[in-house]
Amino acid sequence: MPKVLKLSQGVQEGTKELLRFLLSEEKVKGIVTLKERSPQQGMGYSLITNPQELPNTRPLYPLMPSNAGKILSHLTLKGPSPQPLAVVAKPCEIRAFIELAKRAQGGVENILLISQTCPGVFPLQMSVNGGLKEKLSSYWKSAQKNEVFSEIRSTCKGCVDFIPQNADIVVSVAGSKDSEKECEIFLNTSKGESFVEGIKGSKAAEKEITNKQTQELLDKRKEGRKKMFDQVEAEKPEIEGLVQIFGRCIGCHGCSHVCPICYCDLCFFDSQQNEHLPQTFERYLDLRGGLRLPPDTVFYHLGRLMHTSISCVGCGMCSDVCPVDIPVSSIFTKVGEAVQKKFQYTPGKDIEEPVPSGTYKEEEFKEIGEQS
Amino acid sequence: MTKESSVLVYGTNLGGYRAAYGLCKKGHQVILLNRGSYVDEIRNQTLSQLPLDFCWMCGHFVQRKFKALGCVQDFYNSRLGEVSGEAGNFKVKFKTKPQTVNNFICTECDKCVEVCPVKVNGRKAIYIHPEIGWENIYLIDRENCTQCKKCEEVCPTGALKLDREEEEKEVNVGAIVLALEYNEPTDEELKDFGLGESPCVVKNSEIARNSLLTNFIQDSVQLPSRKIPENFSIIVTSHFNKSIKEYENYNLCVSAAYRGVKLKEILPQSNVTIFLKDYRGFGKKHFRWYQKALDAGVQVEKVDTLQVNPQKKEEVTIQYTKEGKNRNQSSELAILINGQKPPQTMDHLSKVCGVQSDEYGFCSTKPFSCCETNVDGIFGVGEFTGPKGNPETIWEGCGALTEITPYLGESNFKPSPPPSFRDIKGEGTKVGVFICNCFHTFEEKMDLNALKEAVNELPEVPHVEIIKGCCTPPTIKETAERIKQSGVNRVVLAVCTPIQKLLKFRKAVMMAGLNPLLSEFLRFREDVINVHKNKEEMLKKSLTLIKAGVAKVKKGSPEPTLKDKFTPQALVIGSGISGLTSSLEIAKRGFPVTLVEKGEAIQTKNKYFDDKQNQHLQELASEVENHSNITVYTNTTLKEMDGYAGNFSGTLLSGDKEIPVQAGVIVLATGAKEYKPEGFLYGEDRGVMTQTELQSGTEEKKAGNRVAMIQCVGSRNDRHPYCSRVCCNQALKNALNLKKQDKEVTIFYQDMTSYGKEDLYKEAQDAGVKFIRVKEKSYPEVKKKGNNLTVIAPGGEKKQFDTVVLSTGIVPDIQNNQNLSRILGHPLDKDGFFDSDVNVYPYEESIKRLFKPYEWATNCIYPVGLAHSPRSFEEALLTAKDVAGRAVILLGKKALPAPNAMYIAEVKESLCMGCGICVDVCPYSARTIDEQKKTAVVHPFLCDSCGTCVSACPNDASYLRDLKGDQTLASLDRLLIG
Repeated sequence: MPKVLKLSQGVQEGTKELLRFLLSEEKVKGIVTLKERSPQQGMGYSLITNPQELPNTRPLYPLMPSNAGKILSHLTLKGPSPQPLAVVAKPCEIRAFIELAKRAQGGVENILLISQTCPGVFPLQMSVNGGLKEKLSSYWKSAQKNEVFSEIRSTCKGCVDFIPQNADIVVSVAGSKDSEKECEIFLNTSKGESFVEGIKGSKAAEKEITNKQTQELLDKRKEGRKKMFDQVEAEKPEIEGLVQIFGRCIGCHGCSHVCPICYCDLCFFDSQQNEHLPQTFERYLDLRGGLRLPPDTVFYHLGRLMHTSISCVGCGMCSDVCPVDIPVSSIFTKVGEAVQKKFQYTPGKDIEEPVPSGTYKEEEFKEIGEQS
Repeated sequence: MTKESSVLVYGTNLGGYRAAYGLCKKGHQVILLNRGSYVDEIRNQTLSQLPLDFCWMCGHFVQRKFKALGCVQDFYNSRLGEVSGEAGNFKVKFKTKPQTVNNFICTECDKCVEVCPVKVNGRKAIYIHPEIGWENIYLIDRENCTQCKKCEEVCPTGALKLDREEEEKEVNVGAIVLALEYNEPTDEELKDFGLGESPCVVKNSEIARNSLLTNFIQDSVQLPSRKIPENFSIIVTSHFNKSIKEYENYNLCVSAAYRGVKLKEILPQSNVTIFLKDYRGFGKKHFRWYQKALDAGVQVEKVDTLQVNPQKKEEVTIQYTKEGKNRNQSSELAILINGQKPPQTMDHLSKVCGVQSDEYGFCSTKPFSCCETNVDGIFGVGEFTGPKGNPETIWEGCGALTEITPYLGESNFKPSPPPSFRDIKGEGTKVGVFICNCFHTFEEKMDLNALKEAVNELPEVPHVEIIKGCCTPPTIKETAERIKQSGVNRVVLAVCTPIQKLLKFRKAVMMAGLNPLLSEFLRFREDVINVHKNKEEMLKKSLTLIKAGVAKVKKGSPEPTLKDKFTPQALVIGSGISGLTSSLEIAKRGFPVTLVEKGEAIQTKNKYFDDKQNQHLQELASEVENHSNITVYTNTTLKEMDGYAGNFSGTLLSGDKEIPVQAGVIVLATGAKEYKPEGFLYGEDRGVMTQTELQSGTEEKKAGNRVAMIQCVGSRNDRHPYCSRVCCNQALKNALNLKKQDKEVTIFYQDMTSYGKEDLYKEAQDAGVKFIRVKEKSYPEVKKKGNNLTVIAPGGEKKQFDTVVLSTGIVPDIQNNQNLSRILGHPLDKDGFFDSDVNVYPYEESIKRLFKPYEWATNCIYPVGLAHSPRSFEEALLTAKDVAGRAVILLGKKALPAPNAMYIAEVKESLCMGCGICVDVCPYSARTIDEQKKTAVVHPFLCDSCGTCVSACPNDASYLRDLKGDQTLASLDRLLIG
């Protein structure tokens, strides 16, 4: 059971207080967190080192301008940070980072992971086109009331992994009734405990992070998840169904660029490798009489499903950036859940657990039709 | 007189094949005498037992490859004649008769079978051997053949000649390897088990043969009435045979377990009972197979006597005694697993070359050698010198290589270098299609001209023609010439059976000056002619195959053959008997050896050895210390090791001093420890001791008059689920010694796993040693009462003794092994010993892997002796000599091509993110991540071109040079859509 730290501010201020402590006491060299830059630049992840910048940070802001897992991967790809850094990120972002670390695309060494029980985030569009700020106060109220806010990302409405799995420190937000007045912080690991050593606040006894409230929220989210999955049920099987789902894709490949699990710098589908010879086009024409352009739309999405579904953390970035509103994230989450179940694998749960695509088990070597 | 360089191998056991293979690799020509008329006619141990449900064709491929290269000459129907001269210069006479159908020239066109007018039992007088799966062997039923010679006339290549003369030949060789095959008991000698009297009694090897190449399926155990039995018995006959002495190797018991498991796999509802006296599976991981059988629900009955009584049509009764009681069990199928008899050829060989047999009738070998016979320069390997497991048989092949080389002259074989390739840059893609008519035999079955015309229509094919063949030396040459003349730069050969003739096809393409990566070979015989009757369909299918082939070669790229340098030095870790032997054998052949010992000095005395063995050890140690090629570091450990097979470089740590070390191969000879007993009042009462302490003979460890021995202390339990192999024989020897002093000896045991030619178990029983069986994985309890030690068996039976001797097993030095495993990246097995190429499964893996070309199976890290698994003094010596032989083959080469030359996997760096998934899945450890570039790197030495990395890579950054993704997709498109 994790130890609990209580700060006498509300969660927003409390979290900032925690960050201030980490920076001013030189527990960490810098902090990766959301920051309000300027009205033009909007909200985005920043790496700050000066405590005076803290007032502009919005650590718990309900927005995901890019998946922090991907950002952390870039920060640590060529080697671990020489000095400790803290990061405040949503649970799915942390899980994405763990998945990347498993694939040698970064490392958790020297990184303090801070997260929250997550009430969900708004679609990116709302931050760009305005309208988000007006909704904020009702968003926080609904979080206190343990409700699923109606305007958050549809993926978030169906997210059942809102409690962080791997964070060192977890701020209780979703379902925290008194979050205006007090800030409840779970110290999940001994690493987390050692970093807050010396902070002013009351240290309550140990406490489970899951409780009646989180269970209630989980039930609501499960309902949402079912709804989300039903909406993307294909009407027709096989290729026809796939065309129906992905048919309006314009081939911008935005979904792969924002996807934390799509870690290849140069995707096969963006490379010379995937440029066809004129004869190939000619053959396609011979076979089908015509060709949808750009070609290979379904192939692209299937390829992505093949390689990411096992590790899809359901962060929702892909749906958010899709210019033609394909519910990419709902589809990937749905397929991901099925694949992950098959391999009994939860992405981002345990950094020691190898990725199934990199492991072979003896029982998988059965011939087709052979009994296992 | 200069020494001869060639070696004669007589017989076809696996040890002989392996020796021939090693010698060829080292550059010595080999003359292989087969007593049979085709490659597997005389069954060797593996084929007699066929425990694999799988043939081991890889063994033959090696032979064929070297034959094609000109390094092996093989003779069929041969018999060894007079041997004169001496080691280094033997003159050998032998008689031989060529095969009626020369298998090497035959194209398998089947014309001979078609024209044969004689029909016998649903086949012709010339027919294809029904049991050999990997190639067609044409046999002649001499009884029914009318000598009409129609087959001879029709044979397009002249491979078939009905009348072959026996010839007498004489050759000069430096050494002779006797590799005579397994002798099985006759049906008469297995009469007690109902063999030949009931259709429900079969040999295990027959069951396996029924399922050869099909995996084990239900039909393999079908009774004559086509019924699939439900009640099976598996009987290890060597334990019960009263008519003759069947010698037993560990294959038998583990075969029984394996068969039981396989039966339960295919028929989960069936009842399977294994009958044996004791489970003697003492090879690496064999006890785990026993556990696996029990877990699968196989019954194991350990019984005293047994016979099989045939009942009504498809039933037999197994009549047996257990614990003094008679019992019966009926069974629908009894599967016999039989042992071996001494070689029948022994008398003949004693006469012609003077080798002596031991008292049991096997060929005797000199002490401290693995295969030297009493005649210098003549070696005996495999089952010819005694019962042994498959790995041991194969190890002896390279062990023989180690022992033979001193008798041989300079190597006398070097393959000719491959032809150089034409630069095709800027030529544009020109695909030529060459359709083989197989000496005009295909023409009768399908319309090749129509096919040629259809191919001519294909826009991307500027040249198509029909060729006569591409598998005999003249046709290979002719095809090469035609390819050259046509001016094409990519080739599709529509031929047959690439699995067998691949090298020949590649050769033709290479002789035409083209890189073989620009060619594709199609199987017209298998995919078209043998499976279709309708000419239209044949045309359609063959055209589709050609289109797919064309699509594939169009995208091929002419990449170069890869070579890598090789460091001609060895690093040996550990200086026990195995380490010293391998160091010395490698050093004697001219290669520098670094010998590392963590103790203060190299070993000169071992408390587990007898006097003679210790003397040998001492001599070895002083030879090692004085050898100019060996650098010994004592008080030294391995600190770190980088690099990969063939090119290791690392650091040794001697006190504070760091010493750099380079090596091409690493020998792990780190030994193991004796299990230190817990409980049994050991260490508390002076009457309780270990077998080794008893052997020490000191006053303090003197046995009283009533002695109890407890077996399997520290072995075959949950903590150490393996047999320690040496303790039963040690206990029996000690018991017999005590018996001679008129002491009373009682042995508490689970299974007596005594083995070898001498039957110590029976001797001990005859001498009056008492045996009390205890339940598996349980031990008797030892209590002290007054002056007496009370031993309480798990069943509650109590007995009083003066002395209790514990038979303690061998345990790995876990900490040390784990440390080395981490530094070297070489895995440990589940028991904590070093893993190697012969332990994954008892048979198939070991044999396939051991014959794997280039010996990369262990990545040039070879565990020997006790570092590998528990074994006796002689067996440890054998592993050391095997490894020395393997190492010497490699160390002599300055550079080596990839095992598949140009057919390896590669990495497109622009697409690679260095995630390492390919590194994790590579079964050959052929991949690493370049830390600077953060991309994957392939070591051509290690890559076997299996393609696992290709399927694992999420971004298509991994590819096989001869089967790139776009090639596969393009040819699949053509196959599926046309």
